[in-house]
Amino acid sequence: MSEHRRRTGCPVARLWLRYGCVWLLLMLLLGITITTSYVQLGGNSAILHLGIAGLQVLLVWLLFMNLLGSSTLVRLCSIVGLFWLSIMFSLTFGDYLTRAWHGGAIGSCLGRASMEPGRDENAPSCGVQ
Amino acid sequence: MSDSSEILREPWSSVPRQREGVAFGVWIFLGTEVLFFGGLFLSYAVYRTLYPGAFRIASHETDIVYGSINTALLLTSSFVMTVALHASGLGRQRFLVFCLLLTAGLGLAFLAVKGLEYADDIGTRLVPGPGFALDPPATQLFFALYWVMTGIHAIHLAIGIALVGGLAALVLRGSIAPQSPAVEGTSLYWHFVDSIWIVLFALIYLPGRP
Repeated sequence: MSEHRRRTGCPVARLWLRYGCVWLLLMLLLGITITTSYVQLGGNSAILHLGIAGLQVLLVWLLFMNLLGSSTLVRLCSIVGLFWLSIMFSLTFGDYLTRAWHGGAIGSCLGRASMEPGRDENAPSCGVQ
Repeated sequence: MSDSSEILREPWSSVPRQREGVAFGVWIFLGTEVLFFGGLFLSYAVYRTLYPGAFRIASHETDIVYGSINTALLLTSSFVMTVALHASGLGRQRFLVFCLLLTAGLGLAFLAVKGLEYADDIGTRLVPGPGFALDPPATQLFFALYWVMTGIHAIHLAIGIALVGGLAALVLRGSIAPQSPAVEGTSLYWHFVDSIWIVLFALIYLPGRP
């Protein structure tokens, strides 16, 4: 009986332990992202929080969704959507960030908001009326 | 051997091939979901770039307590769903059903907390349109995206809860074997909905806190 329990009880305990560690890591990242949201980081806060979110998504995709143990075909499928997304974001921001382009200043749309003190932050920063 | 004959379906020639087919098919579907939510995320990114001040003001009005509780609930549900998937692999029927029901329960808890949050938001007039509470007009853009993105996510989650609950019922009744590839398909969908929320949380609740 005890040998039967050892054979069948062990795998379940190992499951909880193995994936419990991943869960703890996810919760730790959640705690870090919430705590750092109250720190004045300026423009770096978006990068930090989206970076942490990206790391959490990576943990879920690789470990919970088992991409690490999947075939190459399945892994390719998983990144195709993200590849398309990168094209869409690049083309769209290529438009918006260059609408106020004067003689080759890349990113003048974002630069204008930070370079003009006293400027109304609620007005659009790319010359959109 | 009897397990394989229970699981194998047409047109598959073997169970491993069938499992591969399920994973492939579900990931193709999840790719379309990436396109769907990607459009909304792009809209958010463009408007946040155009109106950074207004988005900070608007984001500050969201309730980070509700958001954090919901994120913790979904992360926990993903953990339990993964354990359920491996229970399926071990053929542990009752344990699988327990984990599936727990996953669905955590999803329902998320929807309940979301409902409370929506009630608060309506009470504080954070619905775009006449009578909107906040001052720069562009804050309405943030909240328009908030309602649409979280609403559509909630619909996806409700579908996931129905799938997980239905799967639990089928396994409990013995209509499908615990090792069925349907468990992996459902699990992939659930984790994806969780991933979307992880990004939504960073976009909606975290900016504008200091």
